[in-house]
Amino acid sequence: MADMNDHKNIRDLNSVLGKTGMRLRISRVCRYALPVWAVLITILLVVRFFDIREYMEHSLFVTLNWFALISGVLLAIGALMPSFSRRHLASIVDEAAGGNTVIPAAIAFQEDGEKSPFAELAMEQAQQQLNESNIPSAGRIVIPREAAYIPFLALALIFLPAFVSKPAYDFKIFDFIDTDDHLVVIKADFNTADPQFAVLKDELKDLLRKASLMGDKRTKQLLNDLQKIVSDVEKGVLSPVKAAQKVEQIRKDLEDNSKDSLLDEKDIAFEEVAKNMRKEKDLKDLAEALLKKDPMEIKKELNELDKKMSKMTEAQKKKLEEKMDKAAKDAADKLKKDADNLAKQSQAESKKGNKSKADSLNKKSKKLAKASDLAKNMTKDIEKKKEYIRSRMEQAQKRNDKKELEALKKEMEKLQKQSQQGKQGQQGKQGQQGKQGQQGKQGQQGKQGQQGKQGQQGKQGQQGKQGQQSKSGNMKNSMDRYARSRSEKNTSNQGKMTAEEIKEAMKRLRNQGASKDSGGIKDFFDRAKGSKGGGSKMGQGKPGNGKNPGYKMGKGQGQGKGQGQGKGQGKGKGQGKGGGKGQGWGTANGGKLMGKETRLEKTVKDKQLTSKRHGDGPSRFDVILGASEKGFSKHNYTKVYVKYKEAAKELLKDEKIPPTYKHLIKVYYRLIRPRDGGN
Amino acid sequence: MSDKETVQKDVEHFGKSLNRLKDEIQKFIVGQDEVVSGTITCLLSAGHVLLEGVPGLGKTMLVTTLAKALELPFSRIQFTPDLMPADILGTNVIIEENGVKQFKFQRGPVFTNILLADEINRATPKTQSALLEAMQEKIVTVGNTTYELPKPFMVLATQNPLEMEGTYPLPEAQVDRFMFKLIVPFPTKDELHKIMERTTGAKDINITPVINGETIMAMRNLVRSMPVPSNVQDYALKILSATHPEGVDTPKEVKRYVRFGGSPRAAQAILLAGRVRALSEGRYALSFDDIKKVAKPALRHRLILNFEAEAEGIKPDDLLDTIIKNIKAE
Repeated sequence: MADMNDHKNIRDLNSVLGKTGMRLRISRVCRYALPVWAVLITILLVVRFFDIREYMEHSLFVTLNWFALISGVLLAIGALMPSFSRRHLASIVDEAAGGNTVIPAAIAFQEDGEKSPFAELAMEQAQQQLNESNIPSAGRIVIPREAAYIPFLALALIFLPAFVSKPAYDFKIFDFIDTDDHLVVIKADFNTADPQFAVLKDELKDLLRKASLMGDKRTKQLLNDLQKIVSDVEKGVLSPVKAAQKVEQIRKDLEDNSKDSLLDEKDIAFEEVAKNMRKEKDLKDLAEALLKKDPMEIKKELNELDKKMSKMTEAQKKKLEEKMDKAAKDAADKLKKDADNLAKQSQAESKKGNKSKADSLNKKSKKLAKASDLAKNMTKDIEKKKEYIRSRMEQAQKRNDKKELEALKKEMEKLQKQSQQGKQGQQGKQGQQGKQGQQGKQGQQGKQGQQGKQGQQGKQGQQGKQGQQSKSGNMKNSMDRYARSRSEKNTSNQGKMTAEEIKEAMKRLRNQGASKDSGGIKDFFDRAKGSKGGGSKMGQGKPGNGKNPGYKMGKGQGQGKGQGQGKGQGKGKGQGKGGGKGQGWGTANGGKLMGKETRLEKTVKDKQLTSKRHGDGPSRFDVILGASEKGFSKHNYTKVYVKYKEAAKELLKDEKIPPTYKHLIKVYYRLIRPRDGGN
Repeated sequence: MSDKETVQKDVEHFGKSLNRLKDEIQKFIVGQDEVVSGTITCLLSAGHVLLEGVPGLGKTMLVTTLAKALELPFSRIQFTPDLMPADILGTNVIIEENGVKQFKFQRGPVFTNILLADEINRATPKTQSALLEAMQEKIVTVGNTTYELPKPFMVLATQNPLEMEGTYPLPEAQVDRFMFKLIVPFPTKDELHKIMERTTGAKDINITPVINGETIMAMRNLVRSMPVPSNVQDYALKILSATHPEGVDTPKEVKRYVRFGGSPRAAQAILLAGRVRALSEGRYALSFDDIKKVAKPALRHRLILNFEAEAEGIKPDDLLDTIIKNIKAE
């Protein structure tokens, strides 16, 4: 009798059992893995909802990670589960076929090595029964109930990261709520429509507008990135920790971008030119703008000059050009002279042995020399300027001065750009002239034709008219480039400061109002309550003594005595008429800035103390208090608000003020801004 | 002819003979398929049957019909309280032969192929024992002489579940000798109609013999020659173990209501009966379903229930259903 294992029927039977076993294994994995999946999904939900771990930016990436984890778990479960015996599989197949088959018997005979005719016949019969019965139903992969779970879980895995968004943070900046003490507490509830984010976004918007007008692409890109980060944090898409890291990087990039080693030379050159130009009536305003180093004003004055020149006759234009040229030459000569003097002084010092002083004088001398060259080249055409820049680039390369080389490259790019714009302008002008010329020929529109040409000229004034190459044009181009460089640096610097503010804000968000670096903030608020601060260096200045009132920052705001709820109300001593800036932020402990804490109970009635100031109308204090008692008087409050806001804005430009404080103050003004028709 | 072909032929013949026998019996006996199948199964397994049913259900008729269809001698003993063992087994009587008086053994009604022991629970335990010994040993010992009973020998005993007064319920040890206990159900309405037609009509139904004793013996041999797969046997033994309160896989209901479970004879009965069933369906091996089907008649009279079960009216069949449901075939 043939070996039972070689029997064809048993091979077929084994094949069926193998498939059944696979289905059962998958079924078992589904049945027991489903609870595991449910647990994992629950964990995922908990992690996401409570933000226990950092949320990854790409939902697909997250999905893949979780899917890999879950797949691994499933495989482990499947692998670890004991396999089914052939007899067990046979019984399942038998059950599926009605329970009355000889399939289990055939498997048993085969395993036991039964060699009787009955066994052989049973084997054949088993095969026959296999053919007849519905074997695919044996060992179903999932029962309907389990199958219903699978699509749900698959959807949950794929779409869960997108649906489960991070909750918006609900943090309190002013974290003191003293229920016993009726101290007025500003409890800021920054939820989704968050003034903090609004302040940052407004600033960024403003910066982007400036960058669009007169900034460079890189700065604009970086500011856009900042804007996106703030927006993402506000939406809850990005965590504050990651945001802070990104902002720091952007801050560094902005800092690098703001470096322009040529700017100092330009400042010196244009300052000198402006001093000479100031003497001329037509150029006075432009000179003032150059002396202020205000890019927007410089642009404005250049436009005004263009308009003036368009109305001038040729003789007048020529005269003006000569004045500008003279101003530039005089400036160049003076700077050269100063440079030479400094060089001599440097040599003298060097002979005396004062090396450091000699080096310093030498540096200054070189700077003035370069400024002199710049002034000299101001009225030259672009090609000559490019030549000059190229020669300087060669020298910088020889010296291996990377900073200067970088700055010179940027300058060269600007010149190239200006040169191209000039060509386009020329073409446009020619086209326009052609068109207008035809119109002019028609007689009725001759005047229009002329105006059209002039209009085109006016438009191209700032882009440079390659064709004309007038000295005044070249000078104006130089001034335009200078204004742009200034604007880029200003924008980059402001962007850098804003980035610092954003970074601090992110840190605070992370620590729920108590960031590592805001120990100073806590002290600040402690002192505001009247308790002694922790002696942080960010202290307030001493209360003003009224003698030197106003914004003498070294001695505090001068309002300590003036506006407390304790003594000295309405005396007005602290309210001075303004003054110069203090030396810096106060470093002493300010004591009880807000005066003695008082319990404001129902029986207490606020009494408005009269001021010693007579004849000047109500004091500022009176206005604010009056507004708060009667409901806000929009008109007066708005005026007061605007004035103080502008004052604060000026102060906040000071780089020495820590970004955290700056931000808080901005947020404060945002919160108290007038509504409903106020500005 | 190879062994395989022989077996194939034998199995085929087995099925045909069995079906013929069934059909012949059912010419006269209406319904009671399970009882008829069970009876034939016991016949082919060399076992004995205990039929339980109310009077008038055709128990005696079944036995007589069976005997006619088998062309085998048939005896009937009506058990009464005054029945003596000698009335069953036979006795020595004095006869005169050739002028000499001597004892001669007069065989009792037990010396037959098919014996109907009617209302066995009405005879005394002593009388019951006499029959049961004959059933088990297939011999009768009278005095010093042992007489072999004819082959095939099958006892069909009946009991009336209604009358308990004046009866002697079979002791558990004796009941164990019956292979199957078959419950004769009350016929359905349609069956009753047919019964009326057949038994009160003018038409006479003749039962013709379809198989003889030799065929039965050959069929018995075929049954015994069929191998039992180890997994099926394992399943049968699991079921048997589950009837014992101390068993590993015993359901909690069995633990609660059963005093003693089935004996190894029950397992023998199950396997033999299972083979008969498999062969009757033309299969060459036992299936799990065969075991499930024969387990109840083989075990219902072997489960000894405790007082709690009797008080709560728990039937052995209910417990056997629970066991079959809980024990997984593998």
